[in-house]
Order: sequence, then C-alpha cells, then structure tokens
Amino acid sequence: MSSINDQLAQLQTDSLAKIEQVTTLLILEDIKTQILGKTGALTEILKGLKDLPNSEKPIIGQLANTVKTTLTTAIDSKRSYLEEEALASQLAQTTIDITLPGIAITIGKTHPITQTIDHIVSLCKQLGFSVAQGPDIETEYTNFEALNVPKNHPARDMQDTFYMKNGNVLRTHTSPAQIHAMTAQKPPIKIIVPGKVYRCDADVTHSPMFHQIEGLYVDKNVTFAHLKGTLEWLLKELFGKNQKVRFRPSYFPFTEPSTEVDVACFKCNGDGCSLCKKTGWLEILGAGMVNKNVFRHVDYDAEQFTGFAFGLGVDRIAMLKFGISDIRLLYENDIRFLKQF
Amino acid sequence: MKYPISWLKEFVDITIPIQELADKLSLSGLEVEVIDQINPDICNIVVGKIQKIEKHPNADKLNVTWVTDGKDTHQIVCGAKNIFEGAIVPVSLPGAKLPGGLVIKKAKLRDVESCGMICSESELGVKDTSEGIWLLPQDTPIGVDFVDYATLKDTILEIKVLPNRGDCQSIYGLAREISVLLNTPLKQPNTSLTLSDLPLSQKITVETPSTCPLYTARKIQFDTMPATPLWMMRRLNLCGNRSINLMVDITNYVLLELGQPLHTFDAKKLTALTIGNATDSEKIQALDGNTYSLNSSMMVIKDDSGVQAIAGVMGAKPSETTPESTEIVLEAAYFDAVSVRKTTSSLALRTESAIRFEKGVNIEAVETASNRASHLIQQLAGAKVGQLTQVKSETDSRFAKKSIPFSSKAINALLGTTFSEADMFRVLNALEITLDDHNAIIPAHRRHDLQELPCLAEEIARLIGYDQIPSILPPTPLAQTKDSPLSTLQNTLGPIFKTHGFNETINFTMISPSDIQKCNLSTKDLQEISNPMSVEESIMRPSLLPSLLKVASHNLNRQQNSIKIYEIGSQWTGPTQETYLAALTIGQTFDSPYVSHLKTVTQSNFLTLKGIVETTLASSGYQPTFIKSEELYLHPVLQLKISINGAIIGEFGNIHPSIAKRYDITDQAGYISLNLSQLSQQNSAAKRYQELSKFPSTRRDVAILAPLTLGYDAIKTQIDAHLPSQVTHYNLFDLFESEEKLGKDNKSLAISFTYQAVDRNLTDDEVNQAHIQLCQVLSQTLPITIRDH
Ligand SMILES: [Zn+2]
Repeated sequence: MSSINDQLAQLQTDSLAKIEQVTTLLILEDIKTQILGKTGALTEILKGLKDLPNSEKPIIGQLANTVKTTLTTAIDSKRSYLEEEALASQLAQTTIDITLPGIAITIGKTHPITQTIDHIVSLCKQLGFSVAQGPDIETEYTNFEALNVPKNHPARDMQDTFYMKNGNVLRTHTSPAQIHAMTAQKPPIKIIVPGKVYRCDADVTHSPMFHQIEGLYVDKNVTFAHLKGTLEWLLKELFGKNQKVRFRPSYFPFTEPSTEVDVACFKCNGDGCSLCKKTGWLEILGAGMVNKNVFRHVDYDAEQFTGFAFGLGVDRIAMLKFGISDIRLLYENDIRFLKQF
Repeated sequence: MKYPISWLKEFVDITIPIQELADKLSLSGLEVEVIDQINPDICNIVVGKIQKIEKHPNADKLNVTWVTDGKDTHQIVCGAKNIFEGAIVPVSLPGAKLPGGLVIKKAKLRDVESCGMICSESELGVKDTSEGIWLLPQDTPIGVDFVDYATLKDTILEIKVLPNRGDCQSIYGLAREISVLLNTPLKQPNTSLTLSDLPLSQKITVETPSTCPLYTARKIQFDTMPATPLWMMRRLNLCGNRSINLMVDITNYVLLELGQPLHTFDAKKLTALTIGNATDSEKIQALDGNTYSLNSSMMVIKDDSGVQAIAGVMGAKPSETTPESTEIVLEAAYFDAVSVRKTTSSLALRTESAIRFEKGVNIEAVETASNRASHLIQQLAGAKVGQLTQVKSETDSRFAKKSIPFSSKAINALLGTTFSEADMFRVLNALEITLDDHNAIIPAHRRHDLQELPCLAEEIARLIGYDQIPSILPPTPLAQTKDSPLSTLQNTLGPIFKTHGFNETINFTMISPSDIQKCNLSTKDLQEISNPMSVEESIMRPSLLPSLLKVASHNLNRQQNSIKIYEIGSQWTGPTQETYLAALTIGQTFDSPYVSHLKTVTQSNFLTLKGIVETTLASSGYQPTFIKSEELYLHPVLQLKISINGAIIGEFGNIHPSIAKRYDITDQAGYISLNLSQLSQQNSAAKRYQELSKFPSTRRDVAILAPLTLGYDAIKTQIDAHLPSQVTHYNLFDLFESEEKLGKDNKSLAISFTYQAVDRNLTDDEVNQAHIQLCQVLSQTLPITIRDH
C-alpha cells in the first residue's frame, strides 16, 4: 500500500514541477495527456490498486482523487495563465497608430447669440418668468403709441425705424410683446420675450437686425427695489458674483422711473479703457417701472398694479462675454467662427 | 450738446474736479459721454502789437518783426504774409506751450535771433487750418494773457440730453441742474436794459394761437453792426457754431445759453407779420441757401411779400439780417413742439432751433431770452431797444400752473424705499418744485416732462441716488405658464441637428430681391421694407433658403468644404410669420476623414437626408410619411414633401444644381426645411411601453427580383397589407443591381422579417407557414420573382 501511496505523492510532486515549467499551451496539453490521459501516469499507478486489500482501496482511491484534482486545477490555472499571456502578446502586436486623430462626426455648435439667450432665459425661469413670443412686424401702435411714444414725439429719434410698405414697422425693440402679453392676460404677469429687433443703423457695434430679451413683471406691490434686486441677481449670475453693477437714471417713454444699468468694464476692471470709452462702465440694459400710460393702453388698473420692465441687448452681452469686437461676425456665420463657441 | 465749463461757471460755481462733476451728472440722469480737454497744456501766450517789420537779411520769404507786449519789445522772425505794422496778434513767448506740444524757445533763424512766435489760429488749436497770422480786433488789450482772454484752454462736457430733458438743452439749464447737485446758488443772466421809445412798425397777427400761444417781437436800432467780440466767437466755436454776424451770433449765443431760439429780421425788409400755416406748395428761400416747398400743416411767419421764416426752424433770405442791417426785429416765441417736429421731419431740416422747440422750451422764459439778447445787443452795438410787443393766448393751458398730487407714501411704495418726507422735500425744493397742500407745483421749465407721481418719484430717486434704493428679489411664485409647444420643439430639434453635425447659424431676416429671383421663389405678396439700408436687405424672407445658400457660399469661398449648417428662424408667407428649421449640407460628413472609406461619406445624398429627416422626427415622437413634391428650387426627382398626420410640415431634397450654381456651389447640396410652427401643432405619438417578449425570435429572409422601376414603397405597401401577425418588424438589408447577374432592368432586394410572439415559443412550422404564405402573396400581387426565402 505504501508503495502506491508513495507513487501518488511522487507523481504529484513531479507533475506540479513539470506544469510549473511549461511555457506553451501545446506542451501543457501533452503533459496533461501524459499524467491524466487514458494511458497516463496516474492510470498506470492505479493499476496497482487491484492488488491491495479491500480495506485500503477506498483510502488510496480517495488519495488518487485528491492528486487528480490538484493536478487538474494546476493544469487549468496554468492554461488560463498561458492563454492570457498569448492574448496579451497578440494584442501587443497591434500596429494601429493611436496617436492619429480621432474620427467622428463633429457635433455642431450653438450660435453664441442662442447660447446667450438660452443662458439668460434659464436664469429668468429660475425667477419664475415664462417665455413668450411676439412678431417681428408690428403696427406703429404696438411698437410706439401703446408704449407711450406718440407720433411726432422726440423719443422716436431714439430708435431709427424700418417701415414696411404697408405702414407697419419692424419692431425696434421687444417691448411691443409687453402689449401683446398684457392684452391677452390680466395681472399677475411675469414674462420674458427673446427676439429679433431692427433699427436702421450699421457699424462695428450696430447691426440693422439684432437681439433683445424683454422682461415684464406686473403685480400688486411691485417696486423699483424689486427691479434692482432682480437685475442685480441676473447680472451677477451672468457675469460673476463679484461683478459690480450700477443703476443710472435714464429716460424711456414706457417706464417711469427709468434706469440704465451698467456693469464694471471687464477689460479694465473700471479703470477706463477703449472698450468702455474710458468710463470704466459698460451699459448693459435699460429698465424701469412700467409707465402708467402703458397700463392705460392695455386696460390695466394703473392705481392697483405696478410693474417693472427691462430690455437686454443680447448681441452686446454675447460680444462682451466671448470677446467679439465686431457685431457683423455674428451674422456672417463663418464656420470657423461658429466652431469656436 | 457741448457744455464749456468756463461758460457754465458764469451761472454756477464749480469747485469740485470735473471728473467728479461728470460722475454726479451721469448718476443723476445726464450722461456725460465725453470730457473733452481743449488745449490742456497751452500757456504763455500774450496779446502783442507789431511795431516794425523789416525784411530778413538772409531769407526772401521771412520778415523780422518787433512786437510789444506793452512792457517789452520782442524781436521775432515771421514768415506770414498777412502781417502789417500796427497789427494786433497773439504772441507765444519763449517757454510757451502750444497745443501740439510744441515748446517755444529762443532760436536763430538764418542767423537772426527770434524770441517767440506770432501765432495763427491753427497753431493755437482754434481751427484745423488757417492762412496767415490770427489778426485780432484792434481794440484787443495789449499784454493780456491770451489763453484766458480767448478761452483757448477749456474743458467741454458732451452730454446726451434725453428727450424728456429739454430744459437741459442750454448752458443755463445744465447750470441749474449742477446747482441742484452741488447745492450751490444759481446765478441769473444779465438782462438789464435801457428801453427806448421805439415802437414796432410791423403789426403782428397770430392766426394759429394753438400752435403759437406766445409771439413777441421788438425793434432794435443801431448805427453800424460791429464785429462779434472774440469771447463770444470763441464760445460759439467751442459749442460747434460758426460766427456769422453780430446779430445772428447773439441769437445763437442766447439759444445756447438759455435754450430759447430767437430770430432777427432786417426790419427794413419786413412788412406786417402774420403767424399762421403755409399754403400748399408755397416756397421759401431759406437762410441755408435751399428753397423748400411747404404745405398747409407747416407754421410760418409771413409778411406781404411772402414767407419770412419757417416757424421755429429757419428764417428766409429776403428778410435776412446782414452786416449792413441797422434796424432789426427780434423775434422770441413759443412754437408748439409737435408742430415744429412735424415740419422738421417732413422737410428733413433739423436745426438747433427746431431741436429745442420740439423738446419744449420754457414758455415763461421767452421774454427773458428776448431781454438777454437785447441786453447783449445794447452792450455790444450800442443799440436802442424798443418795448416788447407780445401776442399771447392767455387761456392757453401751457401758461397754466401745473401741479401733481404728492404722496410720500405712494412714492416709497413705488420705489420700495423708506425715504423720509424731509428728504423728499429737500430734493423737490432744490428742483424749484414747491408743495401746496399735498400738491407739487411744477416749475415752468419742467412742465413738459413731469406728469404724474412716478415722475416725482424719479426726481427724488435720481437726486437721492439710485444706489440708495435697496435691492430685493421679488417673491417668486411658480412659473405661470409652461413653454409653448413651439419653443419646446425648437429646444428638441436644435440639439438633434447638432448631433448630426450641423452648426447653428443666425441670419438676417431681410434679403434682397435678387435672392428671390435666384432661388426661384414666388414674388407674390412679399413683405417689403420701404426704407431699407440697402436693397440687399429689403424684403422679409419668404424662405430660409437664400440665407443658408449665402452662408454656404461665404464659407466655400473661404476653403471650408464641408458645410453643415442650420437655422431656426422666421420666414414670411404674405404677412404670416412662421418659424422654420432649415438645414443645408454640402461635402463630407466627417470633418477630416483621412481613412479612405470615410472620405466618400456625405449627408448630402438624398437617402441620407431622408434618414436624417426620419430619425429626427422619430426621436420627437413623429412618424412622417412622404409625398411626391415639385418644389422649383429642388432637384426635379430628388425631393419629397414631409407629412405628419396628413399635414405637410416641410420638404427636403437636393438643391437644384442650377440654383446652387447661382451661389457658386458646384457640389451636391442637401436641404431640409421644416415648418416648426405647423409641426408644433401636430400631436406626437404618446409614449407607451410595449411588452418585451421573453420568447426567442426567429428570422426569415426573402430575396426579391424586381424590375428597376418598381419602387420600394410599392413593395412595402404590399408587405404591410399582408404582414403575418407574428412579424414584429422587417427591414431592407440588401439592395443590389447587376446587369450581368440580374439583367439590365432588374434589381434585387433582400428583406429580413423577425417573427416573435409575446406569449409563446413559435414553432418552426408556424413560422414557415406564415412566411411562405407572405412570399406567395407578394409574388402574386407584385411583378416580382421570389429568388429565395
Ligand atoms: Zn474698460
């Protein structure tokens, strides 16, 4: 009995050593046949089993099984090791130049004007404004008279107007959307209106078509302090928390009191440079408390309700944010330009 | 308007730095746009008299002069031709600094010592160019500091006066505002007069009292008209005016100083005056040399011989005051703002006078202005001044006292402030607004502007400072409405096109008539601009196509060969404005495909365009069907209309090569146009979960030999009509044509069908049976042969 016992032990030791040293899968399979195959070493040893007393047979049988399991496990683990090694060396052979540029459909860009509008709109939505629209062609009434700019009023000079052949006008500001909104809906009202506006004017900073965002908030007890709070929050979200903002008295026929809002010049931080015309400030928007005459035109109770309105020049903000110096670039749509944003 | 600080100082003491003053003005509503330093470094210029002139010994063109400044005599070499012995001239002495930065030193000119320079107007920064030396009036005091005397050095504030602040369109008006800001007293202009018994010879009749509630005139007589003094000329120059003759200069001076336009007629050329409307096509030969044709809506001043002035705008040649005049009629009047504005607009004639009348002058200060001008004429020309004759419409509302109910509570409520009543009163008082039992009495110069309580609130807020108003975020309720379907659609489709590689563009909505023509667009009911800046931008586009073609052309011309662009914007069908999405693609899909098989991939081929349309719409929940289309701008065959729920919402296809060529585009161009206004009104499919089968699916293919002319849609129609219930989906997976293998007129299509049930395993028998049946039906209903199944 001890001899078979020893033989099995010897087989295990020798075989493990052999397996350990194998370097190819082919040899590994050979060794497996030599040890565990039908005519392999283990079978040979177990032939001696028949000569043993019955009482020992189960013990030796169990031992043989253990040896077989041990060797099978060793072969399997060696095999997977060799397989991985083979794969690794195969993968290492890959010759594709990974420093070549990637290949893809380049995702298109959003126009800087749209990016600016989207940004402002999303900020205003956080304050509870909803988005409304208005047409580009307006009547003189909605563009001017309803906004307290009567015919033959000098305030008409503030905006050079395009007239249509039928006497209508291309809206000179998004403010007529206020009239449409207030005609359609009773207060409270809290809307923003992004859109295209038109003025007969063209140079590096003026385009005959440009973009504005109108804001209107009408309710009971709306104050100038609310106007300031809203615009200050908006401009700081837009330009950075530390952005200095100032409110200057101004004049618009459709608001009273009126204000122009400046932010400290980004380029010179308020010291004065060519961008801010040496003032240290950049004019960003006009705003004010809705003039009572506007309320009267839309049949709102001017004693019960107050409201504020503001108009942001989108092109100017986009130009400032992205450092674009010529407004015409915005409408030339050079793909090399568009891809920068 | 330009405001010289030296002139402002006549009415108000300014002791703070100019920059600080400018900031105060800007922050109280008078935006200082420019602070213009005139000759800031100029110094050491005196008035001198040329005593002797001799030829320069070594230079033909030079003279040697001896100039006295009253104390010393200086030898100065001078090259100017217009000098003479006895001439009074400005002299810069050694050490003087001139506007260009030139410093005057003793020098030798061709061996002759020169101790200074006799100056011209351009050398002193008064004019851009000048010929010869600046010859000063003979009565100019010799030896005085000429920098001060001629106001060579000054600071000018340029202020954008807004339409509501007509009261600030004058030196005095701004000084009044400054006196409020600086809390210093305002000085009054000198209007003292010695009146003579000199009645006006002309009878005055006002036919239109509603547009001329006040007309005044007086006669003024003098022996000869002296030259305009230097100081006045200089002030006019600094404000951008040119000197004409003393009478005209004085009226311009008073206009600038007090904001009240005046006019002088030569009294000897004038008969009885009537203020009334012109008759249609009446002519005036105006002072600017032009002849204007008038109409009956324009107010004029006439005498027996015709129109002598367009009221408030400009006078006429026949009664012009000239240097030879010795008797004038000085007009000071109040002309209605709207009337003057209408006239200037229709004549396209905007004068300094009109600019003031149209914003409203101070009706109570008309007489003051007349007196001020008369005072100056008397002082400068030794004139006799007659009594003022005035025609006044006493009951006109513009003479009435104006008051606004005042409530500090309401003002604080509007502003969101807690300003004390005392602070409010202080501001109102400074503005000459007095309180009378809760009524704010508005001073005459602000009657045009201050209308209601919010106006008072603005005055209080701007003078206390907008920075003194708190900043409070209003309480935020939930948004009242959600986004419109249209804006939701824009927000969905834009990103999909970007994923397909398209860049967003924004184009002018105005296009040119030639674009309409080039794109074969209909000329019916176009929305035309009557005053376009250029014909290139004169029509509201009836299609986005020209915009995108122009962008493509622009980029192709700049060696950008792969064009993938889209725009979401408006187009007009008649007066109807609708929002469209249009996309244009030319060239390679991949940006720089160095791998050969990607080089030929393009989105501009028709079927890829169709795929973009299908997937884009499907991702928004729409199932498009396609209808034959006949757009003139598209390829006659390669185009389809897109229909959703039976409504046409757009079209796509290849742009007609002859149109593309008109924009220098020679490559195949794909174009998609979607009417988002229409599409947003269509219901998209509701999203519902379809149970996924746990049982395996079986695929069966069928290969069809069909004539080339048989469209896929015909095959599809038959398949859909006879589709076995077990088929979950099918797709075309191969298409091939080969004259050699299939014959010239045939094509082969291979379609794969997936069979699957939700509730059971399908047996092979069941699938085979269904599939064979389908194949039989297809071969019976279509002119095809089943090659394999
Ligand atoms: Zn700056």
